[in-house]
Amino acid sequence: MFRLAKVSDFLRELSESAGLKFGLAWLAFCVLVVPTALLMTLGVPDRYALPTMLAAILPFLYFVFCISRWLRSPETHRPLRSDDLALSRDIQLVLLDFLHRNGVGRIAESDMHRLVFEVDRFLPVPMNFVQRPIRYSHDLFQCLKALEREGLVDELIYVHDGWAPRHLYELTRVGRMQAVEILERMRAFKELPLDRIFGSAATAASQLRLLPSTGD
Amino acid sequence: MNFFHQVWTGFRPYLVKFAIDFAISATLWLGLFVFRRLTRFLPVTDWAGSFIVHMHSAGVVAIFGIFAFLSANDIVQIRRGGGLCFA
Repeated sequence: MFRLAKVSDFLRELSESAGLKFGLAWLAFCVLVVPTALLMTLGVPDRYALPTMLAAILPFLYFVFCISRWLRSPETHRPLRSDDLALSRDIQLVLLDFLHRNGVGRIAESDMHRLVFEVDRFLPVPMNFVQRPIRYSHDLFQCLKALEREGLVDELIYVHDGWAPRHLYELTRVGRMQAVEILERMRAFKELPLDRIFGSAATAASQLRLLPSTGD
Repeated sequence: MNFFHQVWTGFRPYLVKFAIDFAISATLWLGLFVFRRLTRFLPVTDWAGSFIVHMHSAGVVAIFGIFAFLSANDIVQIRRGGGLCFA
């Protein structure tokens, strides 16, 4: 079902993705300029045609963004279910605990997305919002925010040498306890290949330089 | 930290975004320029010629509008702390 995206999500994703910016800018340019030129040729004065075109840029970009987001992922034809979020929540807790046990206390949101993306293929029910290892996913961000609200992770804002703030997440003591419980439950669930999940997470963490590579 | 370093580190996120927006706008300008060159080689007159002239003028305004919107959005997002981190 087609749903409009939040305007704040649209603006944030537009700001963070150069590719999206490029695509939408070119599309807006091609689609808006032609009808405006047509109107001007038909005799509509510039003072009406040009402001109308400028005013249409933002709504047009937003509408195209909503459509592209809907079309981009076949899975999003159905809304995200609570099961998906619950599984994502559990997996994230377990992954954070796995990293914590390997000496990685804090992990950035973008790295978390990469890890979840890597293990997604081993899950019996894929997490539908994980499409590709992009740096930002609104749904993943919401999951992490939910974990923070539950007191299972701490969110730290890290500003590195003048760059935009970076969101880091750290498992709390309560979060670690709950992760252990979830892991025990997952071990009983035979369809979940935990070895492969952790192996894949370790490889991705090595590639992200969070853990030393296996060759070291 | 000296004065210039402080100014530079504070300005750098904006500069990166600004450069990306400028590059995108520059590609649009380039597209318009190529189109203009094309219409010189293949002259179009009458109604179609007027349409192309209007396309150029509307295109220039659209590029400015798109660039202004993208830049303003980036500034707002960086100030809100939602900007992408390259660190």
